[in-house]
Parts: sequence; structure tokens; C-alpha cells
Amino acid sequence: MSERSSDGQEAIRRQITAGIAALSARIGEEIASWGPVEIDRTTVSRYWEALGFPGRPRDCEIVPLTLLALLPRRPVDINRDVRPSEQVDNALGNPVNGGTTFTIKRALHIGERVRGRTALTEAFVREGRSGPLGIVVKQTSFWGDDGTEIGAVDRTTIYRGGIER
Amino acid sequence: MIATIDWVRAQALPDGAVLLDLALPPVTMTQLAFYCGAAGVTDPIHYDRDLAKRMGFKDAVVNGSLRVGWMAEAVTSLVAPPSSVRELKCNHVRAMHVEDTPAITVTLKGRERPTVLGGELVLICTIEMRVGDTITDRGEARLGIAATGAA
Repeated sequence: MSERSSDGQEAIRRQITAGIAALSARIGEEIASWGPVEIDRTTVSRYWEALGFPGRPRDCEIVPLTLLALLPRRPVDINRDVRPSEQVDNALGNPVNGGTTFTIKRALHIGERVRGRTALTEAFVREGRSGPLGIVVKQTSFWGDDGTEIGAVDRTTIYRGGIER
Repeated sequence: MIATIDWVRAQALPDGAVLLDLALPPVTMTQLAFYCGAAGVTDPIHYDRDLAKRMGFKDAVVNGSLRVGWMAEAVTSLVAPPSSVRELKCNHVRAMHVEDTPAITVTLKGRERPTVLGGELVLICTIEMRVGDTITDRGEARLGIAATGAA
């Protein structure tokens, strides 16, 4: 390995370590909150058609659970990533999706109004085969206007460091 | 029509049983563009083939959230009501591109016994999505099957 690439590896290690240390101090902090948003039939129909899954839903009055995870992304701003929950870890480079977990407490029906809150829940360093990886987990919790919990989505992002593509 | 799993069927299913084996249609650019609009996804690697290739991808990239959506629909189609899906975990293993033809298999891994008489039986299922012989996504779901047939 050349000296330059060794320096590069060390720079990435510093970037990951410093970025995760900064985030560790913010565990539990609210990153974003939004709502109430009404889940209308048109939004659900478009989402269902866009999925292109064979057949029709068994219950057309229930919102597909994965649509929940997309609610914070609206409205669309073409060619810009406007996802508010991803602004907290800009110092870490080269993100890849580390997995998504949905936990469902109850069904969400069309016409309901939903509120959401995203919080930073985990930030730590894991040694990968080619160097340190920054692991960041954010949880978005959803609840109805009546205060009942609908569910939560945990998103894990793995940062490899370096310059963003 | 995919047969739903009720209490009686849930009791009889052996671990390792394939609950669903479904081939999806090939992914098209129209679908990706439509999905990005419907879902509020803004990253152009999903709808600009030239840009995706310039960034080192084989072609336009199928959204991770779209793949999660297929996995969710796959397990949701197995239960009634759809809210019987208690938990869904998804991990992406490989990239998927436009014109790929994905297939999904859902297999019974095991079950959690009801903790109270007449309670809910929870099936634990593994989900595997693949393109050809290559696994692109793995997941696990917990499906609640009510003793009365209603969750």
C-alpha cells in the first residue's frame, strides 16, 4: 500500500471517528418533526400503482406500511435530496443503506392525520474489512391525531468516509 | 390470488415451508420515474440512466424503498387484515437496476407461541429477493395470526 493511500486511510479514520463522536453526544435528539399530514386516497393510490405489485390490496382503506417511511420526504424537489433526517450526518462521507426496520402498532387508515418525529438513536464505529465504518441509526415514530402510536421506522446508514460521490 | 394464512393453516405449516414464491415483472424506467414522483424520491440515479452510468452504476438504480415496498407487499398479501404484519426488517445486499426481473420468496422460519390462552400466534418469516441467482435483498417479518381470525 502506498504512503498516500495509507494517509488517505488515516484521514478517513479521523473523519469517521470525529463525525461519530459528534453524533454520539446527540443521541436521543430530535432531528425533525412534521405534521399533521392527512393521508389522502390519491397519494395511496399513486403509491400502490407505483409499486407495481401484482394483484390488488386486500383492504383498500389501509395505508401500505412502507408509505409511512416516505411521508417525511414530501414534497418533491427535483434533483435535490431534501430528506430532512439525513442532514444531521453531513460530515460523514459515502453513505450506503444499512437496512430498514418497520415496527407496526396499528393500521393506518386513509383519511387519518399523522404526525412524525425523527430522532437520532445510535451512532458508533465498527471496524470493517477495509477500515472503520460509521453506523448511524435514526428512528421516525408516527402517531395519529388522537395520540395513538402507529409505528416506527428505524433506518440504518453506513458511512465509509471520504468524499461524497 | 395468494392464499392467506389463518389460525388453522398457521398451526399446520412446517418450519421451512415456502409461503410465497413470486416473480415480479421486469423493472422499467417508466415505473422508476412514476415511483420517484409518487414517493417523493429526488435522487437522479433512479431516473437518469446517463447520470447513473457516469456515477459508476450499471444502469439506473432501483430504489431501495421500492424494493422494501415489494417485500412489505409480499408479506402483507399473506395475512388478513394487512395490519397483521407486526415487524418487517429489510437489508439490501446488492444493487438492482432497471430491466432486472426480481423474484421474491417468503419462507416460514419459525413461530412464537401465544403467551396467553387464545392469544396471537406470531409467525417468523424470512424474505429473500433475487435477480436470477443473485440475492439482492434479505428480510425478516413477524406476522400476527389471531386465534379468532381477526387481529
